[in-house]
Amino acid sequence: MIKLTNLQKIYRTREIETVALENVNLEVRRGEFLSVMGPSGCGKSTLLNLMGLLDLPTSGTVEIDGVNTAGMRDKELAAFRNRRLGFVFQSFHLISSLNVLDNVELPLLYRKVSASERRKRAEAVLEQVGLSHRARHFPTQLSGGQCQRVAIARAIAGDPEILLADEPTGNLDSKMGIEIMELLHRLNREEGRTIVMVTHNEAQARQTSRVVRFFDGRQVQ
Amino acid sequence: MFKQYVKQALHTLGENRLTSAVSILGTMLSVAMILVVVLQFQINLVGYSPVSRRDRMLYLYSVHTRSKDGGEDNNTGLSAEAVRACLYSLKTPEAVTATAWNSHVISIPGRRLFEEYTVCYTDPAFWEVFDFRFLSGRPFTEADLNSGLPRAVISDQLAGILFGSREVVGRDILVNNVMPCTIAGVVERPSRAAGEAFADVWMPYTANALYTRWGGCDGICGPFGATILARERSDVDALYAEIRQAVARYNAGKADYRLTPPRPFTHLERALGSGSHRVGWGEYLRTTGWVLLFLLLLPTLNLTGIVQSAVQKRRAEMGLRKAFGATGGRLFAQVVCENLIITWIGGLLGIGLSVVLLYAGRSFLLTSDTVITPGMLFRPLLFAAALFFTLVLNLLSAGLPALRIARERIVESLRDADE
Amino acid sequence: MIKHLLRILWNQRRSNGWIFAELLVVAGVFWLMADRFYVDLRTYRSPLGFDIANVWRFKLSESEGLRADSLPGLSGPEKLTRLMTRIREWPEVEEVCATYYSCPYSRGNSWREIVPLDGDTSLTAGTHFQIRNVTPEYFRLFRIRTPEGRPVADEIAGQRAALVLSEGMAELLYHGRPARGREVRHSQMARTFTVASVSTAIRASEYEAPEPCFFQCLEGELFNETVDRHGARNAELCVRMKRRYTRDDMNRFLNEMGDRLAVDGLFVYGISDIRDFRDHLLEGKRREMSRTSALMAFMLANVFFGVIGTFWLRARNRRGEIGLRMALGASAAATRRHLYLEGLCLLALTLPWVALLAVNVAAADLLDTYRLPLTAGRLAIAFGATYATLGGMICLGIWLPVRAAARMSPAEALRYE
Repeated sequence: MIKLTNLQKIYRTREIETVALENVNLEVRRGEFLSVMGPSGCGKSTLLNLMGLLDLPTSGTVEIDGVNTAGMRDKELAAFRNRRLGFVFQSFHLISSLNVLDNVELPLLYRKVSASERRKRAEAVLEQVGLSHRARHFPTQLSGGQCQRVAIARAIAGDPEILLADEPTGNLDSKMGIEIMELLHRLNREEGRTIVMVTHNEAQARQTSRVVRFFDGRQVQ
Repeated sequence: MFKQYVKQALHTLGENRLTSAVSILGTMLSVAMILVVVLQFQINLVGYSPVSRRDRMLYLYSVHTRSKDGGEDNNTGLSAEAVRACLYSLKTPEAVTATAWNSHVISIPGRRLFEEYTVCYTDPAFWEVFDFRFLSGRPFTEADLNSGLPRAVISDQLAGILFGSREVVGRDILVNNVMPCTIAGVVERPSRAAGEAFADVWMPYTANALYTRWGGCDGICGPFGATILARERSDVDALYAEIRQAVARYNAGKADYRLTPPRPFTHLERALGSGSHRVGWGEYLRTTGWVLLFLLLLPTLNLTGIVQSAVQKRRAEMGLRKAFGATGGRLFAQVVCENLIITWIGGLLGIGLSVVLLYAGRSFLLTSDTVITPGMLFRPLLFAAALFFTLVLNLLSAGLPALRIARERIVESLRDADE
Repeated sequence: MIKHLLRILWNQRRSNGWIFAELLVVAGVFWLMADRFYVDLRTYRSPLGFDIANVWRFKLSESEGLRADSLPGLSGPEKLTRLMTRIREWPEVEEVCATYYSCPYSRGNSWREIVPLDGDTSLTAGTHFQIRNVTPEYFRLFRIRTPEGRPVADEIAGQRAALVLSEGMAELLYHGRPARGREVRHSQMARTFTVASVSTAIRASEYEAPEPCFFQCLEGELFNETVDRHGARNAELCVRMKRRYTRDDMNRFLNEMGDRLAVDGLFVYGISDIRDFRDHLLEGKRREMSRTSALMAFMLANVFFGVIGTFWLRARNRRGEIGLRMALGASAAATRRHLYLEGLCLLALTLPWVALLAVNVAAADLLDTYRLPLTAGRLAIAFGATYATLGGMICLGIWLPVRAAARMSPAEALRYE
């Protein structure tokens, strides 16, 4: 599903060069729930950004569903992200000036989907994460766990095959964390979505189908 | 899509009340100042009674004569003789009227007064070119002109001052306390903005010997200007051709001087400021354009600063939208559209403020004591100009920040927001 | 402290850039306008050289032009003299004079070449001076004085073929040596004239610098010649009343005068307060100044809005910091002072650029140095006015957001941390 070949990412500033990822080769299979672990600064998030086409590798290729993404133009990348990928962030990144429903509709906004269709689809995924009663609320009126569930709803609203989650429970207490993990597992099992999750939590990692560990920009396991 | 932009813009508007207020007020002020300039132009351009047919009017206020030896040039008005020979004979236009202004003391027999009023010496065609509303009586006629019988039309205001009534047809007034004149009609006083028709008293020019005899340079030069009512707006060239022929015939009879065939100003040229010389769009924009640019520049700098920080605050949102598939162009459009709401609110208020400003500053913006009527102000031109300048202002102020955010790398905008 | 401020300003250059650009433009344009205003004001307030209080201009006409029968009898000069005498005899009238193209604020002007018989002829060769053709009563009527403060009317009394030079013209011709009693002649006339007196500088209007000029006293033969040449009805008849008259008072006065206002076809048909001519003449300048003021107000309003916007966002971004400091017991005043200083520092940074502009404008001779020489004082006043006004506007703009930020309780402010 996702195939990373000889991936390297170097951040250059005027003074220093930081190697964030070095020679990473990794294949994520369809329907897999993969955890990425490692200490802070080991390059996990960089890896996720590259997989999510949010950033370009210094060298190496990212292949998604057999399509090599190297050399794609901004417009093509945007369309690709829109159809194939869903993102969940540690700090939710909900748009505070839009209500829950509008937030969830976001990925559909960038496709040719009628307003009524958008609404129907957003309501359906909110139902799925158990928040349809909060559709008209604004993000500031929700708890952290609810925010993250809205974020997950948004991530799957566009029906992508791949979900990329960057420490989705990092900002939540353990009870809410468990709820979120259950939701992700359900999406993996029942809907067959491929999930790549960056986490610090050993217990959560163990529940997933595979764990890869990073240290200092290298894959160690 | 736009609905969401509007929603979000209104939400942000409420959230940052002070910056929104500042942006709206700044836009309002700028648009209002610009519209004042537009209104000044518009008042000169649009037609209303008695100058309703301005779109077909052409003007000849200044002519040039040269002595046959080439040693002497004069820029003046026309004599009555030249008007008769070169203009009254024209077939192309619907009507031609000659006008000359002076200020005279107007009083009534038996009561000496010393107040001066504007007197327009003209001909019967004046009442065809301009559509005055007669409150009583009627215009003076061709017969009055030829007999040189002093018959005058006066404004209702002057009638009120002199007689305390509008029903004054048939009564006499005294011009400069010596020349008696019978009132033929009373009209509604025109606005000073209708400069080509304005006066308090209109009388046949034959009533004053000075005006019939006045003729320098072989009798060519004199006090008269002319307003020509064309049949079609596009008749200028045909009219000019006919004037050239008439002038050539006229010059043939002159010994020492030649009249250069004058090309009339169109009404647009007059509104742009043509007086003794022709002013076109180019010259108008070279002078007024700078003022407009300056009026746009300051609020643009303000708004750019505010839009810039507002957009920077929403970098995470922009990054997120990109992550979910928005292209750079989409984000650019979003920022510009959201900002458009603010500038449109400002622009709308600016229309109102411009009318207030024009009214407050009419003493130095327009000819003094100009009457401003809603008909002069609320024209499509005003709204079109408001729309245009708010759009320009919007693009200038939101364009750069929007471009910057649209080009930003996603990871960076998301990461910055995490910190 | 300054260095620290500059560093902060530099670090926030993204948000400061726009407001700085605006301050730069405004400071530059504002300075140019302030300088012009100052020159106008100084010029306006310097002495005019004459006094027009209670003076009215009587407009003359002759009945032959306007379809009435004329009865030729008296000559033009006789008619004019008789009319002036009749008006002067009226008890409410203080003085009457006649001028040709020389009445204050009349826009009329004519110029002559004057040759001094015993002065600096080299300097004045080919130089034309404005001539004012006036009857001798003019000097008493308009209260013309010598530079020493004596009435000019006293000095010319009894002199024949008298000429009065303005201070500037006397200086040009005689370089500080006494001018009184010297002889001059017009380049085209054989006749010589005697300089009977020297007047203070005479200005054409409140906004103009004095030009060297001279008065030609119209008496005897010269009066007759001039009236015949220009026509009695074209004389500018000035009348000074003994007290302040309203327009209605004047109309009543003229009514009482009745037929005495007409001499053999020459008659007074209307009157105007000289101040009306003045208002008319100054109208253009008044409009220009109103427009400039409107533009200045517009600039100030924009600076105000811009500063509010920029510093509101800044104060908000620092809300947490302000709250933290307040919670830790630091004075809110220090934070406030800091913001004010930042704003003023930003303004101060425009100074070198505006100074550069000033040097260039002055070098290109675009400043009005004719009416007022360019001195350090003038520069200081224009710059002072510009920066004081803009500084005030900036403080006002910062005051609003700062007040809002300081009103918060520490706990509330800390929430933003």
